[in-house]
Amino acid sequence: MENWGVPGMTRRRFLEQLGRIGGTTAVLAAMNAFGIATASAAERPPELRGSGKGKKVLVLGAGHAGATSAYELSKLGYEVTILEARAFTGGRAQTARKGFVAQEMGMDAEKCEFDEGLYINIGPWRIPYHHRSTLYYAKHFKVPLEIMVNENNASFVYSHKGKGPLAGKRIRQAEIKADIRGYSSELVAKAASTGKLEGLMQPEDKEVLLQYLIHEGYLSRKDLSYHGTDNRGWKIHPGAGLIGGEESEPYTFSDVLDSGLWQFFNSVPEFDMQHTMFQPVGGMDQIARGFEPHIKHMLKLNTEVEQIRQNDKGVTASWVNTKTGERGSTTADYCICAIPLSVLHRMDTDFPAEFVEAMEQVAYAPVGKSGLQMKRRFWEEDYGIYGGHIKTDFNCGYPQWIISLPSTGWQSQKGVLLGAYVFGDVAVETSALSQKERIDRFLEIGETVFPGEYRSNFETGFTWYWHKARYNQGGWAEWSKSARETAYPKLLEPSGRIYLAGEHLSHMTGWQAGAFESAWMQIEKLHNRATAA
Amino acid sequence: MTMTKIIASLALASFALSASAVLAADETGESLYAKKCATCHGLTGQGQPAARPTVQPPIPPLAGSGYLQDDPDRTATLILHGKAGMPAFHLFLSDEQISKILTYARGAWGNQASPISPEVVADARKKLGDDGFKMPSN
Repeated sequence: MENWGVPGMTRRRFLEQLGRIGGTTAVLAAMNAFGIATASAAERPPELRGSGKGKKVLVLGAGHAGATSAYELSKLGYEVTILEARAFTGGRAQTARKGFVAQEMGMDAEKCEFDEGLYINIGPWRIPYHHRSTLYYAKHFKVPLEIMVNENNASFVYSHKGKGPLAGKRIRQAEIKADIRGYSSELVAKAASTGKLEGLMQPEDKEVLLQYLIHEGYLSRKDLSYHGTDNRGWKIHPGAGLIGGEESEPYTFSDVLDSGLWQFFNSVPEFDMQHTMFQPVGGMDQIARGFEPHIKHMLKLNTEVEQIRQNDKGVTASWVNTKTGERGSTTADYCICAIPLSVLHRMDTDFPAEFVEAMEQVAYAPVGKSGLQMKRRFWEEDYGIYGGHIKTDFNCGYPQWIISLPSTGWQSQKGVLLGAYVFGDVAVETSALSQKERIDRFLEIGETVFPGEYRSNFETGFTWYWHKARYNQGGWAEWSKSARETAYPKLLEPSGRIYLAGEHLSHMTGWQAGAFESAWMQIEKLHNRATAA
Repeated sequence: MTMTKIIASLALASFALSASAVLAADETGESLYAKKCATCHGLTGQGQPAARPTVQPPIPPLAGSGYLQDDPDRTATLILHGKAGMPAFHLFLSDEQISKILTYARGAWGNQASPISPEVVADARKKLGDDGFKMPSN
């Protein structure tokens, strides 16, 4: 993870400080507790000393980066004003539920018609256990969390592009995992036991390798072959009395290989995707609601900034209230600007040309999501799938279209599932469709996996595309390698009295942790400067 | 997000481009533009209008755009690599598709710039090398 070179920000620094207080033992215990390389670089706000009293800070944007800056700086005594163009805080960390109205550019306004209590997170929806900054604020504001089921062996994989008898069929993930690993282990075990790995490994390691492969692949000790395992699921489940159960039959190795279904799995999932995964109870916007009571008095909603000017004394933002038409301007000593670069680069500012050019080096991801309300939780009732993802190789921008099942409201009547999470050209293409056409396209995919059930259970849907949101113009920043090296460092430094913040100024773009931690980084710089003066 | 991996191994190693980046026989510059560009830039290249006269349009018009009609290499690079609000399409569109789209947009809605060949796009792609973003997974 990143070390920004800013004192007080890194885990290492935290450990050093802990070492001074608690001695080496405390450091070692903490390192063992969360591992030096396995959690986000910062897990709590910087500990800032001194007072910001008598100084004003203007915060542009009340998403997580803006809200964090405002909250933490106001605790130090700064007089903060937040200007937010939308009618609500939280930026992209939004939840669509009954009554939520959204307006994409060039589209009619869309109103969410889900039943009371049902929702879809249209922005971020997962909090990995190692995103300690996000967890910090959830805990700090007492936002209750629940488990977000991000892996589910009982869920289906489905390939329409694969070959052989397993293509075009929904198959339990456990079956594919067990079979591909079983057969692969068998191959290596047989190669090892017949001397074919000689020269590739130490002879004394061979026995241990064989033990491992038998263990890993559920191989028979007798013939080192994979004959299936009841851990991949039962043909007839054991029961009471005389029902002893009947083991399932494994698929053949070539059928599994041909199907391509192995492509959905790795030895361990991507680091950001591993359990434990969390979600706030009631929707991701609950984190923004946590900030609200503390920043309400400094917050101007529906206030769109039209112009930003600065000189050696301060920063002035001219704004218009989009509801009342009222115009005004706010001046402060410093500014934290948490407006996405996709929007900021076209605004009327007096940033040096070089600074704007640096902003323009970053691409923004087209991203769309859709929640589909089903009148019956057939995935739970009929298939025993509780949360997790149906993984298919339909194209969602890359060949892994998922249908994600809700990790909340277990065994209740209805549920909203994530029917589409699309990227790239698929996000662009489907966003060109009307709401009705979009949903129809998404239902078609679900109907392929659940014929006769998906469409017939569908009641109402909500779709949202971040590249069509006026105040976002993209889901998140996408840095190329060269732009990371050239443009990115320029934007980490203030331009005059303006400090940029947001997920785009992190190596965790698209994650809430990126927004929180970039705000922590920038407020520390701002505070050090303001108190040094 | 660590811009990585499942997908990097999937979409990048196994396939040079995403599934749809193969030119279908009936794809024209106009039909490609309608599918891949018009949602933001408008069917007639009008862009997205400003909310009020005191601010810039969030997406400027392509009709009459000097940028679009100027240097072919720069324009091809822009589509491949993205720019601020603009997505990067290097994983999603082939050289031939980009050539068709650009040639269409540079000659439509009163624009009068020269066509851009697939070779120009291929050169721009070659120059970028492996500099593009990787598919996300959050």
